[in-house]
Amino acid sequence: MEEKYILLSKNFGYQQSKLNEIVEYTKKKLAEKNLTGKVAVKLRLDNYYINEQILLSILPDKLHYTKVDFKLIDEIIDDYLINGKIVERNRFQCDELLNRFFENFGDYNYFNKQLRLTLRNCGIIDPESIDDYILADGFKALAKMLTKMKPLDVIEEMRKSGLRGRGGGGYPTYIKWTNGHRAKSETGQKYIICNADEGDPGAFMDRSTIEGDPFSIIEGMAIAGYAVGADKGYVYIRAEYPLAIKRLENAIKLAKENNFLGKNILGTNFNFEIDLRLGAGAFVCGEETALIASIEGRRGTPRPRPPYPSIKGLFGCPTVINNVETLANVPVIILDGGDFFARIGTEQSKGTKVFALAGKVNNTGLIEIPMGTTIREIIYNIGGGIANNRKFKAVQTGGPSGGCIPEDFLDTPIDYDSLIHAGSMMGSGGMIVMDDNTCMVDVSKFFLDFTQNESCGKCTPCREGTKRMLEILQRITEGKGELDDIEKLERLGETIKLSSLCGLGQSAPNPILTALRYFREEFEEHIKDKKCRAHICKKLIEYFILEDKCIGCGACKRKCPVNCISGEPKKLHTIDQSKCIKCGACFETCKFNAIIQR
Amino acid sequence: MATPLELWESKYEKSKEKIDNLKYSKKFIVLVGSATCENAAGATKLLELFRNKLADNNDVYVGITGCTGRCSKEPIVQIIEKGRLPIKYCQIKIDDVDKLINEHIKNGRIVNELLLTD
Ligand SMILES: Cc1cc2nc3c(=O)[nH]c(=O)nc-3n(C[C@H](O)[C@H](O)[C@H](O)COP(=O)(O)O)c2cc1C
Ligand code: SF4
Ligand code: SF4
Ligand code: SF4
Repeated sequence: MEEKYILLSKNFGYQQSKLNEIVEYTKKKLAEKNLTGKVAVKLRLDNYYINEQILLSILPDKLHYTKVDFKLIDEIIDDYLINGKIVERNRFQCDELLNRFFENFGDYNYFNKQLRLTLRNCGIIDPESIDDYILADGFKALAKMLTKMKPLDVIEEMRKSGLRGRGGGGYPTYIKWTNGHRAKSETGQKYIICNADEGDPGAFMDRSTIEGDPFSIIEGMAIAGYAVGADKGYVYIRAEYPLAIKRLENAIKLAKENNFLGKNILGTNFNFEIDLRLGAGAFVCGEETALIASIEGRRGTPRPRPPYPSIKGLFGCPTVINNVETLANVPVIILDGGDFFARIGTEQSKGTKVFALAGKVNNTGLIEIPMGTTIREIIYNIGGGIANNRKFKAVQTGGPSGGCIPEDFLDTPIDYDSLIHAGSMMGSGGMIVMDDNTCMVDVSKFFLDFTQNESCGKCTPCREGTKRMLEILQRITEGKGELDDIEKLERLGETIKLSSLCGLGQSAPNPILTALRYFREEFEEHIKDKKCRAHICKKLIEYFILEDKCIGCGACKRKCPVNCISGEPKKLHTIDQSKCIKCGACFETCKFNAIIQR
Repeated sequence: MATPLELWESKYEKSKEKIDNLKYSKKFIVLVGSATCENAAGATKLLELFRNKLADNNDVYVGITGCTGRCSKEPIVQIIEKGRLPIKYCQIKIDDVDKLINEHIKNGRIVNELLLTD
């Protein structure tokens, strides 16, 4: 194994060919000097520095250079690698957290293509040890803030960072904090709430973050408390996350013992306490007003806004609610500065986003990428392409509030606005990749079934409307769809979106409306031709015995639960389609591939 | 009076000393992934095995870390030799533990067939 690494990267927009030339040159020069097995050359993700052109880092020595050219490569190899004299020309210091990345994760394509800010400590530190967290500069942001920042300075840093809420809506965090800071509380009491309800089917970003780095959430909440003027915080977390709960409780206890929480934090007059509140796992309880009701001990149903929680929230007091991932970013912003954070990502969406990559990709898992990365890069570079060499069909983002994006949109950059433009949304970070074995009507039904089940029933459009939509989808998948069903779905969907009280209803039709936009012909096939091209909708599958393959062994006949297969031994068997209940038993049984689905 | 930052720095020094003694001074660090997903894939038992088998080896620290996000490859076991990049092994089973200890930790040989490769 190589002892040293030369990491090369270019900034966004700089010419790839120039970087390639430098890489080739470096490799050639290393070979000439017989250093090939000792020093590895690695390419990294495009970096976020604006004007530095090509960056070079030498690890594990932590030497960093900008504006790299052939001459600098000569100097680095001849003077430093061979003679041990550090080259000072174009050297620069960068101690930001993300520079620990490579040495901590090792040399893996999957990680090299990512940028981990939220997950900066996950998989590196011991999540049960406060010493480990402190060694990773944990609570340093809190200490720095208490030493030299006023609440408004904190909010100003947040403004500069451009951080937007990661819970789904993408609301600028600093505005929420400003409103909370300005809001008058009759009793003087204000609250911070960390939303760890995470109800999207298949989402586990927040659970992983808490289990891998619980202290960063605590630190983020304490910083928010200082900025807003709150001395009490709650983490609302679902009871189904026992390990995350245990680690948070442990982290809170250790933080208290070390005076990072509690009274007179680090010798100042800032006090901040955190308690947990366990949710029973209703999706709607992730909605902020329902969540507040649930903490207050009432039924978890949404109420109309305004007043927004930042003005009138928990127990009537100003309350800032942020998502786990949002809060995990806060210490980075305070420690490395809002300007640093704002250099990562796109114009309107700053920083990184964590996704739970699932479905039909080779590498499923939890990933974090800078905003602006395209969906194609995620699926094909980090995800390693579609599993089993099948064909890509669609990618679902935004969970039950989002939609499926087809192949034409693979080059969509990940940011709040582009995803909405493409008919989906960022959501909390579920990303499900689908191949051509997927039926889009069935997928739409799956998500609507979820939201319909989770609807709290408070308002009619959502309660009744989603039920009607689901009934229509159900009959389409059963081959009983009618010609005007598509139009009915669209009309109902638009109405539900416009007239529902909370985000659940307002976004519930999205998966269907987006599917109708991109995969309309599949709906039409189900309705007109009674066909499901992916062979998923059971009632639309026809089982058929091929004349030239059937040897008349009779195995299928014996298995059929409704005795609808007939045929003499050693002769062609046939299925009575009018009696077949499409159970698939014959299809599974035939050893001669004589039975097909069509 | 000390500023919060100064207080933090003295805490940092203490934590550093503690963790250096415990972990970073050791020739090898073994980190077993520990999270809901890792545990479901069998990590709890692995941790126990590594701890038991290496209990009297003073050159090795055995501990936990959160999940690295490689759902399809869990459980992940990292072995970090002092001063080197971490090596990650994937889909480790109970029977692999002895091999990792005998080959990588005792002989410094990386076990190629268990490596996480991408
Ligand atoms: C039905 C529904 C479910 C929600 N579930 C969650 C959730 O699980 N976690 C979360 O952080 N936000 C969830 N939200 C969004 C919250 O209402 C709120 O906007 C968010 O917690 C604010 O945090 P942020 O600004 O940091 O994103 C949900 C919203 C709706 C309408
Ligand atoms: S939109 Fe649905 S979930 Fe939201 S308040 Fe109305 S019925 Fe309840
Ligand atoms: S099991 Fe296959 S080969 Fe045998 S009778 Fe049925 S269709 Fe024909
Ligand atoms: S699908 Fe089931 S019911 Fe239909 S013919 Fe085959 S075994 Fe019989």
